[in-house]
Amino acid sequence: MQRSSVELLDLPDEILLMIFKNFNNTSLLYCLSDMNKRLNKIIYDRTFTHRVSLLYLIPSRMIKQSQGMPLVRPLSSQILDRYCSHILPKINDKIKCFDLEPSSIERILSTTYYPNLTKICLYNIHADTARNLFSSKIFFSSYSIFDNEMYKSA
Amino acid sequence: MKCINLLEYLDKCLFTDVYQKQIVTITIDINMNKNRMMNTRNDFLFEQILTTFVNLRSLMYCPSKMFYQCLFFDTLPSSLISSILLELHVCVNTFTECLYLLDGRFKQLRLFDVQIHVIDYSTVTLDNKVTCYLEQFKEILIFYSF
Repeated sequence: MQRSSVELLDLPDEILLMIFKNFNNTSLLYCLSDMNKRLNKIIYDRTFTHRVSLLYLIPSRMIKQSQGMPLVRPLSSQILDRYCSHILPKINDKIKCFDLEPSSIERILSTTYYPNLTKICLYNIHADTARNLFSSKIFFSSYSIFDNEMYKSA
Repeated sequence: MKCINLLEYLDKCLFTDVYQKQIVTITIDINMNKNRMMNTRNDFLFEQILTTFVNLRSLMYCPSKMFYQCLFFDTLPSSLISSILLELHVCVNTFTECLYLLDGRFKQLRLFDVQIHVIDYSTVTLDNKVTCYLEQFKEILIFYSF
């Protein structure tokens, strides 16, 4: 029996779009961004880029005692690095909504400017951090440029 | 020299400077240290969000509605006001605080979703003007948690 030689990229754009819609868009962008021009065009569509969740949401059924426990976890530094260096600068004008968690807020927001960002969801954030962010006490760019290592260990 | 330029650039990159007019929807879920939760008040943050983001239409404040996330107000500051907010999801300690929020300070509010932890005897009365204001609501959701 001969194996089918049809590959993923042989499929038409419409079918790829339908397949990709079943994936978590954070993983999709991470895995397929910059593979080739055609894929870029598909995955940079606003379907996948209008809301970007840069965190892991842990379903509450997975947590025995949910009170006081964080329901979100940061992305691994490998994924975050790729997002900040390669993906976000390419889709920055398409992002309308961010889901963020405290350890990466500064880094993500200082990576580039998001001209269409109108909605922001901050999870598991400390009241003090939020107050600093909203009162402009956080020079968030400086964290990522000068004190990134220090901030991570703190 | 390069360093100075960089700092000048950083000055212009503050979150609120860049996004305070742009952001229309905020969801914020606060995590408080359990040991500090009795001493930490988060009403300052609530006020700060409302005053900072001048085009804010929808605020979801602590959507997981843990008991330690609810708002306590002794008295509501007069600066806690928004004429453009359309949707407010919030968790308060007592019924009195819920009434405070409905005293007309959010002129265009259409959806008010509140979770109340304690139904207390309230000395706050809503005057006629405010009851008229309540008629504009499309939806008021009240949950009593305990």
